Amino acid sequence: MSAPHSNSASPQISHPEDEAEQQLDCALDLMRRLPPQNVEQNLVTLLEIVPELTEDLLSSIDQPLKVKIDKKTGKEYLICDYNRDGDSYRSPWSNKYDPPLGTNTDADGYDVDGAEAEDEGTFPSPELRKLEVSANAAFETYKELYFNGGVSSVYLWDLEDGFAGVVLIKKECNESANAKGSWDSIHVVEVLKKGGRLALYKLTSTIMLYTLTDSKTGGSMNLSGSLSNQEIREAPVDEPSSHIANIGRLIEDAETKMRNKLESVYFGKIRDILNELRSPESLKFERQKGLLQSELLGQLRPRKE
Amino acid sequence: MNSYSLSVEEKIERVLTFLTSSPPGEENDVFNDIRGIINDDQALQDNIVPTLTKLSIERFQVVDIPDTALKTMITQYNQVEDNKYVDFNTKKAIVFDHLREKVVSCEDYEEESTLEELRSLVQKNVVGYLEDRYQEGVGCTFIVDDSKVVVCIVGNKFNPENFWNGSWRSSWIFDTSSGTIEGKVSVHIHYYEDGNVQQISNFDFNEQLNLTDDNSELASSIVKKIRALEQQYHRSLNDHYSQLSQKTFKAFRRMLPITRNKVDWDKIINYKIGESIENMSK
Repeated sequence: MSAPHSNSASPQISHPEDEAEQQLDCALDLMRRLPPQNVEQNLVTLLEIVPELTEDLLSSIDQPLKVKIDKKTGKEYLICDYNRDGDSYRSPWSNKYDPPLGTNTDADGYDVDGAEAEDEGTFPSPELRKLEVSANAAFETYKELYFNGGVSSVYLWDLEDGFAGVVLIKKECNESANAKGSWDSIHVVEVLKKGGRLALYKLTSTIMLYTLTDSKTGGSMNLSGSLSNQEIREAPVDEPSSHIANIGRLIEDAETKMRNKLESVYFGKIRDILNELRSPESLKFERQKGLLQSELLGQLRPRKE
Repeated sequence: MNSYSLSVEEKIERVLTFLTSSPPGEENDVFNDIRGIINDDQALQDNIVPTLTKLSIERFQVVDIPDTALKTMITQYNQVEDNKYVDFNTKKAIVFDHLREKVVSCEDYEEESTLEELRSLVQKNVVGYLEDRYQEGVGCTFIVDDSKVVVCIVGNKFNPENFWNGSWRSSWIFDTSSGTIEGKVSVHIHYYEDGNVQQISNFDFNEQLNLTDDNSELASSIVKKIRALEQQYHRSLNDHYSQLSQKTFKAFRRMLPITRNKVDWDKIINYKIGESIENMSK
């Protein structure tokens, strides 16, 4: 570990803008390294230390999704930074903020397009809201088909040249008091109009997977984390609802691909690493096996040529 | 969000919790991030030494013994003064500078103990066990309170080129008067290609051994027990991965819907839009 006064890189910076940038870079690197098991607590601690970076940190660090109940419809929805305004969250079902945004909003400039924050908070345009309603219905069906339960929410917002949105899915599995788990999907999609009847879809997906067991026979085991993935696809748009089908197919493919990757990391890669730390078999035996293999290869090679 | 602001000491106190949860082999990177966030090297230097000391002790930090090819470790079991740690194998005490992360001095150190014969026999068996199971294992045997023989084992592998680091760490406390052996195994693995996945697992053991006056036999049975319990835990972790993969993972998200076909998005949309327009017009 390099001592603070050693002559290693990253000299102290006094310029305020550079300082904020350096702090943000370091905070993001830190969150990529620290156990995902503690992401919420770590974020709280970071916000205490560098409150001036609150908005930057909240918008760049994915946290486990939380469930809230729509007071009007009684339906569950998911909350994240994309449907947040101050301390209130917009429900995709009733399109209402909870708690309601009062007149005492401290206009924090949260608006994406830089316009003055209105007292009523940010909403999609009426046309986009129609699409949002349909998207929520479509992804609810998707969620039932693949997850057989759980909660989903879709939020859309207008862009100058199109629109963007986030598709959220959360599925919890609590097999018993000692075995718990949670799957959280966060798919952020940007939709840009291209010439003709084409649109360009840029998808950034993060899946967080938590698994926790605690028992007398197996001790405590917490295997958790997140993987991210990006996709870009062009697709034809015949009518507004085509966007939902296009985004749906893109997310379905990305999520299936990521599910395979998660399985190979969580249950293959991690096990391989464990077995490199400590060998499950005698290393003498392993070495002999390796030697035998290379001898066999050596014997095979001349025949190939 | 916060209307008050913390003093630099308060900030450092909070930020140091990050260091103690850092993945194995990345303590340096986490430290540099903390340094960039605090941006006050003097204050950091004035306040960080207790945390660095705690970190080394908790993680059984492995250090080279000067002028030898041998390694020893920093633990609570061989700490004789604030920053002085004894290596029982070489009868040396090293003085460690936790801030600069290096051995500052090394001196002869010997404490008379009737347990020394047993200790050195246990160490011999531990070395044999490590060679058999650990690619990069380090093990040290200590005498504590002139009544306990303590074995600490570290198997670290740091592979940042392939985006992973891992640590297997265990401690085994054998009480020579009661014959009990208390063990603790901790595993921390970090895999971070396209993400951040970590395994943090712990297991505690409490077993009983038959006492004998034959030190050679006792040493052998202590290390056989350690080997058997570590193997048992290792196997249970490997079983756990299979269990997660076969049962738990499927319960989260299926590979394909129950119909065994991918979703027909055009159908979903036409059906659902009809329904939602109906709802909206109500």
